[in-house]
Amino acid sequence: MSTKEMDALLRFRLPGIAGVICTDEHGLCLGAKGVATRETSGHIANIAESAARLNPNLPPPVIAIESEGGSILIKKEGTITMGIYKSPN
Amino acid sequence: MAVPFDRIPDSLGYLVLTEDGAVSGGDLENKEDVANQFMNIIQTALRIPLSSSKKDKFKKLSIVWDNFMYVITISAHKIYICKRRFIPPDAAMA
Amino acid sequence: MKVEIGVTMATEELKVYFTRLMKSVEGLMAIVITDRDGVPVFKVATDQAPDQVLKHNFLGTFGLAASQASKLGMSSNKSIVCFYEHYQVVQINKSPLLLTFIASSETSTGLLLDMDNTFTDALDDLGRVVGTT
Repeated sequence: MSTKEMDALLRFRLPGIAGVICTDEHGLCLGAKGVATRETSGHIANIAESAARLNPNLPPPVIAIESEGGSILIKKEGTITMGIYKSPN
Repeated sequence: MAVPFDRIPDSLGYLVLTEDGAVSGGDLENKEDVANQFMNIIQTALRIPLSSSKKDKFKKLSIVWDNFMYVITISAHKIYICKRRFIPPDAAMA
Repeated sequence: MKVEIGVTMATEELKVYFTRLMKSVEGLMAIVITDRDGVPVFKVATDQAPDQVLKHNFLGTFGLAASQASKLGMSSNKSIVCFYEHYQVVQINKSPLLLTFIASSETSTGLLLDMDNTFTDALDDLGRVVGTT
């Protein structure tokens, strides 16, 4: 996903999306937009990796971390891990 | 300890981690070895900021596969992990 | 005299803290905190850590690399990542300290690069000790 596409996702797609972050398999940030901060990339990749290891035979799961102030959805897809921040409804 | 997990619909198992040990049942019975994996995930989750407020800790952590999910929450120094059947909602997120 | 006792006690606590931190990151084998010249202030390591990395010349060389990198006219060097076949070494400049992480090449580099934010408080204490001596 290019940064342009990330911009588009933020602007036009589902309302309530506050940020997007993409990382590679080393946990290095490929791009961060909106509320996402580049420093988080390592943790995003790490949690996706750890969660996938709970059931190594199944495709990687979706991780949803929710709080009152906002939430994030994380999914590993091949070598890329993506996180989508949502603002509270 | 009374763990009202039976009342949770579609519950497949549970694991409660406390400072003194763990209580488990169902699919997660005696799966204390995965407790460490969960702890790692929880610690990582706590390091991901969800909003501008640094004090904002997660309320609910879900790990979702096609047919089942783990739902994790923390309350009063206890970590509750529930394995549930996952039935995807028909309507797409709109 | 009092100060010394304070420092030793703090060291014990730090050791526990950093050991736990080290184990929380998969593949992380050693955390070494040195001063600018590579003189170790504090270190924790697992048995898997290669011996040579904990020696003074290794750490000194990395310190030197960082200070040379700071002279390239692109402001001071923030971090250095070195990849080897089986290991990776991540070094973060946290003046007056240098943090060195030795990990497996599989370990998430992004996670290591954010480690300084994870333990800012502990570092402030160590930085003060280094600053006064």
